[in-house]
Amino acid sequence: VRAALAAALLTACIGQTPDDRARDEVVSSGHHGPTHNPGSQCLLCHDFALAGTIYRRAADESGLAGATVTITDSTGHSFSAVSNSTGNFYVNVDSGVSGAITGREGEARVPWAIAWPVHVEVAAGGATKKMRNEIHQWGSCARCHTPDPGATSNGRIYLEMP
Amino acid sequence: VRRLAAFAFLAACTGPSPGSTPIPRTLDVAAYARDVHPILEARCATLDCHGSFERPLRLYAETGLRRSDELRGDPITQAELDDNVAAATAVDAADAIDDSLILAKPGGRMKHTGLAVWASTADPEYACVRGWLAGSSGDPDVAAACATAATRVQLPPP
Repeated sequence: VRAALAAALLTACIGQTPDDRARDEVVSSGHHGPTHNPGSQCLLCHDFALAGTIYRRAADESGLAGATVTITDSTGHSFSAVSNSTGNFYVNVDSGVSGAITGREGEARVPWAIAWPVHVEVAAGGATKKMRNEIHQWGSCARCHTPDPGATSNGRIYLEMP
Repeated sequence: VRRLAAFAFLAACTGPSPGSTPIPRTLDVAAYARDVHPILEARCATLDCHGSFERPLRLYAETGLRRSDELRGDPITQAELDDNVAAATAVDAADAIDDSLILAKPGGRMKHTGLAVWASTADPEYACVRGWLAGSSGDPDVAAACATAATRVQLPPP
């Protein structure tokens, strides 16, 4: 009984971190696969190096498919992912590949660990948008690019095409 | 008692190390805005680093953290620049400029999550920030370093 009480007390004291709460909200949306949970913080659950969602307009609910996301790290390695049907893209580090591979369903595979900081550029339909500043350490784009722009968010990553 | 007296005497005689310069109590806000802020915005003030309300060196920037939600998309404000200078002043209690956290951490001489931002003290960005901390932004060498740094840290237009 004492052990059970101690465990209950410990659980109550520890509570949930902001990341725990964000993760619970993401998981509750249900389905799985490369197209799931667009706009969420991918790295809360996945071991990607970098991942995010591209939109055509800032207020769109659904993502933009076919956008090329080019990432250049601080050693000069450059590689691309192409966003999938929900606008998602993600980067996996895979020592089994000999060079950067732009895969299907939004994936890019690279054989090296990404050297931060990185620069990012998005292109689609003849339009190009370069991220103005660098990313220093957060691999989840949605951690800063939330739906609502504000003091701590630059808003969604979107690319208005001609 | 003798030991204490000897220690106090030694401490009084030793003083700051030769060549060390204390950080002025008042830093030049105009020089910060012109020379230093572009460097810190590009290298330090992203939302995933010092663009955070929780960080001791909390930095506002047009591309990073804003003072309020309504400022997103606007140029940096004077109040934000003032706050950045105040944060830079408050974060440090170093007697010598080169020991200040703002230089020692990105200079690779202290543990820093963002690793070494500047490879050496000869880096123009380092020299520019150091010159500002020393109150010598107007010196020709510092101005030259800042001019070189400015070409390296220029951000793409919105």
